Amino acid sequence: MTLIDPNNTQAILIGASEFDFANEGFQNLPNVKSNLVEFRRLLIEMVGIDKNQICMMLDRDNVTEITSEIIGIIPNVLDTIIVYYAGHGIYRSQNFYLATKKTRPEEPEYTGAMPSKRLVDLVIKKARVKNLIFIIDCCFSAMAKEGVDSRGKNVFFMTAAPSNQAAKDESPENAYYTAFTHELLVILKQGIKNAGEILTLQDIINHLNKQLTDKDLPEPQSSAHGSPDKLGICKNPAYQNISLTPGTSGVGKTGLMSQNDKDKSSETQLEPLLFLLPNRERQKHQLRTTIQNYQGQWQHPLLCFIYGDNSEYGEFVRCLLEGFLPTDNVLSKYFGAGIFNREIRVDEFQTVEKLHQDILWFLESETNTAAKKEAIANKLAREQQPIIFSIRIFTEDLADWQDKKTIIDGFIEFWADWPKMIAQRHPFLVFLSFNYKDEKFSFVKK
Amino acid sequence: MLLNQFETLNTEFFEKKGIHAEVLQKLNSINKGAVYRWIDQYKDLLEKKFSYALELKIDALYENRDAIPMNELASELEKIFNQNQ
Repeated sequence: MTLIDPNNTQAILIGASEFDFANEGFQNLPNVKSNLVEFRRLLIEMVGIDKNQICMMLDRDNVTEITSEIIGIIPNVLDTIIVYYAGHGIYRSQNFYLATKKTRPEEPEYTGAMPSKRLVDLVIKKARVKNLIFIIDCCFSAMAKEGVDSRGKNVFFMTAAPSNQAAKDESPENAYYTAFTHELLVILKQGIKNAGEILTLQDIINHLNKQLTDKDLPEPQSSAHGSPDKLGICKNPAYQNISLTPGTSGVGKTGLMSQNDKDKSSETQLEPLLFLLPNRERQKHQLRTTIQNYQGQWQHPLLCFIYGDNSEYGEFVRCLLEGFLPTDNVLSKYFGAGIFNREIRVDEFQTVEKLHQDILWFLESETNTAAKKEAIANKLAREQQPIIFSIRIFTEDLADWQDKKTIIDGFIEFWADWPKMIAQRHPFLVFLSFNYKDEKFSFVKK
Repeated sequence: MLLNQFETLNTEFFEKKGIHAEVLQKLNSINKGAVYRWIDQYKDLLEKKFSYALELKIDALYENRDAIPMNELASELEKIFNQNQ
């Protein structure tokens, strides 16, 4: 197995989420945007690609805008190029097209759509790299891997759907991503149990196949020219060969107890997650006390604001959800048997009104009901389990913010008139956190 | 600045707005003492020799620094543990 060299890898993420002719047969695909944002984050954090080596092209008008940028960047890397597209796929006149913002579904060839073969040929021809990975998340996407001339390079295709089948624009488990990309993101984030220490492309596609077909979703397709399938992409977060075990004496070469030496009935796994928890006892204690005091008032949401001077909030919330609330001695009675947990990511808004609209739309899609607080509240109360919404604001500087009120004001206003949920018998928490890189940026436009 | 606004949110304000809310204590960078305390939780489980090596590495990590942001610290801690595999 060889490993990609992240320092010599370029990722090109192309997304088409909004269409000028959305009323002519295309629907807009808001999940594409979140696909790109999260995939970019994981390429940086899990694969180790420098952020400057990731080119993100969202809602470009036409193919020329995309290809001219690609031509400018691909000769600069020597190891691997990853090309990702999410949007609409169109089959017309024996050609397969990837839609852009200006594309008309009936006439893609004349309206700026990108012939997938042209994209693939261009990248293969211009790139001097050893490995090329194409990940295509759209309807009929397996067509993209047909008739490819690899020119002796290692080329791997991973597509969301067979050539005669539509892809699913929304994951049944997370309405914020498309189904295929959601599974891919989960693999990068959580890894694959029983796989090796390094995840190869073959590991990933095998697992994607299993996960998606088990859920009756379109079967992903793949093809390989050369042997890129054995290419190692990143560490497997689920790979476990160290653990901590209370009450035993065996010690492995790690200095920690080895898996074989311990009393498995009392084992406590040292998950990577735990590395994010040192010195957060005060916050956990505070949350525990707050929830205890809130007991019996479940009919109203409890808002929790998370802030600080580091961009760790997403991970912190994840630690709370996975490593604290369900296992805490006091709180597990509320959260130990499952949580209706949804993450809402908001990254483009200019006013409080738009922020409210975004949150409402998300809740509407999550609960599959009318975009009215009353209807959503009633539906949520029927979940019969704790509800946690984690609202993450993604921004670096809020340069586009145009409102006199701050985001915090807007967030509070949204929940202040939330209907009383009479039938709610479990905690209802709403976390608000911000992901921004440096407080030195002006956080609210003056 | 939003961070300043977080500092000023308090119970009285929330009651006035008619909402149940809590601002969790600020997530600050982590100092060395806190890392030692965190490792202490697992002290009995660590091989003595490794525990000592760990302390040296933590000392090196904090050389010339009072505190380290959580994301960076988490990544460094992972590296330190993984180096001993």
